[in-house]
Amino acid sequence: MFNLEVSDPANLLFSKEESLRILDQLITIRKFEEKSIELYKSGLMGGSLHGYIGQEGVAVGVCSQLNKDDYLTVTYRSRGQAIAKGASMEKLFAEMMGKVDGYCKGKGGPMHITDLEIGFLGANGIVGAGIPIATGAAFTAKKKGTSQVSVTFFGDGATNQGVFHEALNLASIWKLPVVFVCENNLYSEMSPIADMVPNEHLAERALAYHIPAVIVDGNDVEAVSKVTQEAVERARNNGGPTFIEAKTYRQQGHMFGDAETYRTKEEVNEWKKKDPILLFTNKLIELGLVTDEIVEQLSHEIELKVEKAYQFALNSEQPNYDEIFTDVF
Amino acid sequence: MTRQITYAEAINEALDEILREDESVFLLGEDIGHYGGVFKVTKGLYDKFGGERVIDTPISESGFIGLGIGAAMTGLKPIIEIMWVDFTLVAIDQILNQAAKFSYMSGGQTKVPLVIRTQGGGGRGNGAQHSQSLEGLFAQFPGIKVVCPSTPYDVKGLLKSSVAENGPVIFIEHKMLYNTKGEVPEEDYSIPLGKADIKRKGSDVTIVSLSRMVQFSLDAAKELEKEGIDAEIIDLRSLAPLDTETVIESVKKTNRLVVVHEAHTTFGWGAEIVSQVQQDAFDYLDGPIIRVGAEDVPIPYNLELEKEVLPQVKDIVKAVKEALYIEVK
Amino acid sequence: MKIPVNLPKMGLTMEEATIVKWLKQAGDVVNKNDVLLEVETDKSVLEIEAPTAGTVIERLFDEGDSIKVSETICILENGEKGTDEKTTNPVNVQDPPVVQEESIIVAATSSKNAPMYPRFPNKPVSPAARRKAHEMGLTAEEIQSIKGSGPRNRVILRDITSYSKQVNPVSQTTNVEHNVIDSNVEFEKLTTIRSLTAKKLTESFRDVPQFMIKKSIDVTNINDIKNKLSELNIKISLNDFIIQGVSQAIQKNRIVNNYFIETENEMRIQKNNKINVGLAVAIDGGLVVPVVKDADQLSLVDIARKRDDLIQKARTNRLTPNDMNEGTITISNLGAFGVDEFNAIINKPEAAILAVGSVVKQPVVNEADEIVVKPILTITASFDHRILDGAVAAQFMKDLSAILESKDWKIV
Repeated sequence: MFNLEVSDPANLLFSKEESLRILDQLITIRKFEEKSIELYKSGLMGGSLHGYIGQEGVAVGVCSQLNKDDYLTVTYRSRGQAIAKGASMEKLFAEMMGKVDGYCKGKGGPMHITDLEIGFLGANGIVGAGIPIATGAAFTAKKKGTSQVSVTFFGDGATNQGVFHEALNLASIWKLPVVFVCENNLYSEMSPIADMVPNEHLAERALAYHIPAVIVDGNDVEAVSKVTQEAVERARNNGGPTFIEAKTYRQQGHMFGDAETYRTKEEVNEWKKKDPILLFTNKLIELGLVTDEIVEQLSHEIELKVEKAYQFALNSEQPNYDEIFTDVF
Repeated sequence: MTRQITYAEAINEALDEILREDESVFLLGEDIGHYGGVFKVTKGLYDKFGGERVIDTPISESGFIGLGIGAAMTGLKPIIEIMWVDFTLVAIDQILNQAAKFSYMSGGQTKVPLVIRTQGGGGRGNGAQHSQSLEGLFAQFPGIKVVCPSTPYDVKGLLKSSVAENGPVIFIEHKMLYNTKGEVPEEDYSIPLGKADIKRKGSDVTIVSLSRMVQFSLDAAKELEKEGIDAEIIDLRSLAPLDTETVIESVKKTNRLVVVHEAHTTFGWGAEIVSQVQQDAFDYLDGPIIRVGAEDVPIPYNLELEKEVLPQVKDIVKAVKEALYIEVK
Repeated sequence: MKIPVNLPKMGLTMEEATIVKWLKQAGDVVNKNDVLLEVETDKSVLEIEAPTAGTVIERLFDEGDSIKVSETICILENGEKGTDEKTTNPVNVQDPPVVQEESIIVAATSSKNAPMYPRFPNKPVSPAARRKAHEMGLTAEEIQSIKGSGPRNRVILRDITSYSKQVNPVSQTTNVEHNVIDSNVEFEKLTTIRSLTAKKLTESFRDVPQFMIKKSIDVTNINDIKNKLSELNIKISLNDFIIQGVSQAIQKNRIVNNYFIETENEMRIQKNNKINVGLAVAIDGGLVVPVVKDADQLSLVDIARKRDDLIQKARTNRLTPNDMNEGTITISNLGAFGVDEFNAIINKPEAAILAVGSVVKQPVVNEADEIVVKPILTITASFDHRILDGAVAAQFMKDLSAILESKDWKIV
């Protein structure tokens, strides 16, 4: 029923410049996520840290096809998509630390990152809840006749939520310009998704709502980009929604400190061999676009940027107590 | 004399005017288009404004409320009809976790100007899942305003103000009030949210209520008048914002208070009024405050049993006498 | 951080005070314990000190205003970061507990409009009735006498209003008659002390069955001792002798030291162990009664020093509640005004008061049947007949007379 979409190993999807920008984004998200672990360990943030390492290919691939004013809703595993959509790392770190310069003035936290200037309507702490909201943004785009597209990222587990099905149905009957991006990282929080659904491919579910659906190697950033390109085109041309199931892997637990009793180290290591950054870097080296040294140099520069953003957040002030009572309504 | 129209007609008229005045407004709900709504509140609006503005939805409350939230966030002004307030419970995550919290969680970036029109209360044998009074539930959550109008005049003026809000409002009409008539001026007007209305001036006892119970309280006041008891009737009109000031001022004058609501007594919003009054007007109380509410059982189907469970005029009369020590328990 | 300065309760019965004088203006910088203002209570003038160093940012009352206990009088800013008003400050959790306690007290007692109205244990009175009774100035006794019409005989608003209707017509007609005499009359509001004095004396005059015993006393010996001590530069007044004399006489007649206590359903005698002699002192605006405590234990020199100190304080409005409580008998001396003799009204719940006139030289027939001139002092004592009867009172007066006429004094 489905073919796993992959990229052409012999050819680049993007120009050299674009490819380097894609690599830059992939590494930036990775370094940001690594720094976030350090941040979490230092006790500078509250709550839980839901890491994105291993899934960067999906965020970068999808966002490579989006305009600044396209809408996005995402899950609590949200910083990867935010960076890919153009969010400021300074503001992300500051929000994670609950500081006044954070995206939500320290009142939302990592699960509620919002940046309306880049169409980032909000991360969400409730599994699946952002799906109908993105559908609503698509409704606005259609009603106003703009060519904006609305994209919603959600995990495999969210496809078992009622609102997932409700939103797919609404998007389908009203032909809304929305792209449903399911990041199937194999685990629905701490449980294998295979135990929770009868379908081999979650994309099957979209077919029930007559929504065009594809499955793609989520660790293949070019492949993700390509299927997104088609979906976005369909949406902008009044062709209605598309469902993308990106097969990927969460290299860390559901959250930092997760005992990960539900899978083996061997499995994790196998998937690390298919790491999206590793795959894309190797391809670029093989095709002679970059060398190890260049990648090394790039990584180093990115680390410095991430560190700078981190320091900015560290030096940001605590929010004023007056903020407690603002923005309620 | 000002013209008399029904409560349902007053809502219809308000919606008509709002749709005419504001292009960004659209109506969303089950059977509100062609059919005109189960209580015929949206009758004729579909013909006037078309299916683009008056939109029938699937039976999918969570989905289309979520969609409404997304649309509201991105520049539209949805007025959603939920056929029975009981059905909001199906969509409670979208209403309370999403709509009510977005502004705060995003540090004020995201606004959700969404009105959820619905109807509640008992009195016509609709049984336990179609007769509830849930206003207190919503009032418990910061971030959403809760309006419960009691007259045709109020319902029109308050709906106008609710749509003008820049945040979510749950607007709970009463099924037994739709056919009640009252004076409504032809000219445009609105009533600010959070201002209680003294529906009858009196000196012996203050009765606080809203929605259908206001009329019951007025009827009780007529009976009490025959016995020389002069009751002051306060219609709160909204629970959030809550106008305690008007209540306190009245209690300082009458020294006695009876709180009447159709919601279940235990943990009902009446307890909140009692608490605030005893705190701010303790030295003006001449007797214990009496609450009148529904019995703590699901609303029974049988009309006679239902009547017994819901507060009636005689219960209010009795409560006032208790408050005045005319009848001592 | 804003620090509210509240009116402290400085005596058991203190409920309110009137501001006499502000010593600090808004904007003044103050040190901890600097006096911010003086207030007058029913008993004395008190100084309110700054609980912390800082700046006076707002005065909430003016001179002449009356304030309830625990009400905020003014607000200081101590310059520290912290919680202002509604904002809760998590940092505060680590603050010294003192600050927290203060804010708790403020929250508990001065929430918006919550003055503390008197409560009546064993007598159910509705909050509204308590407030109304307080506004109408009803006494505890009056409230106790009202039969409540609420459940469990709770006194409710209508009981208070109907009570006041019974009481008011009389006073109203009286007021009308007096009001029309002269349209140019001036009215003056009673000071707290004046109105308290009026209230207390009215109660005593109305409630206490009093009888008087008069006694003429030869103070030759007292005069001699006084003069001798005066030569030694020791100043002892006649009052000091009387104070010591009275306390000695009480030792022989303990019953005179008792209190008569009246509650709703019981009357009882309270037998006081300590002998504390009050001395009525007239000051501007009223009468105060500072008390020389344990007078029976003191020498004349001690008494003189104490009495001098108390009178000094009384004249400068510096008496503290402690200076005026626990008196068991009172002396009122109008001798300085050349009064021969007079009657005084008992200072409830004490058993007796001594009205002391001036010393007058009088011809007296001595034991040798000679007519001699002696300095004679007339003391008229009023007694509470509920505590004691004539014979006991007479014995007390006899003993007092003997002591005052003796040469046997504890001087140092």
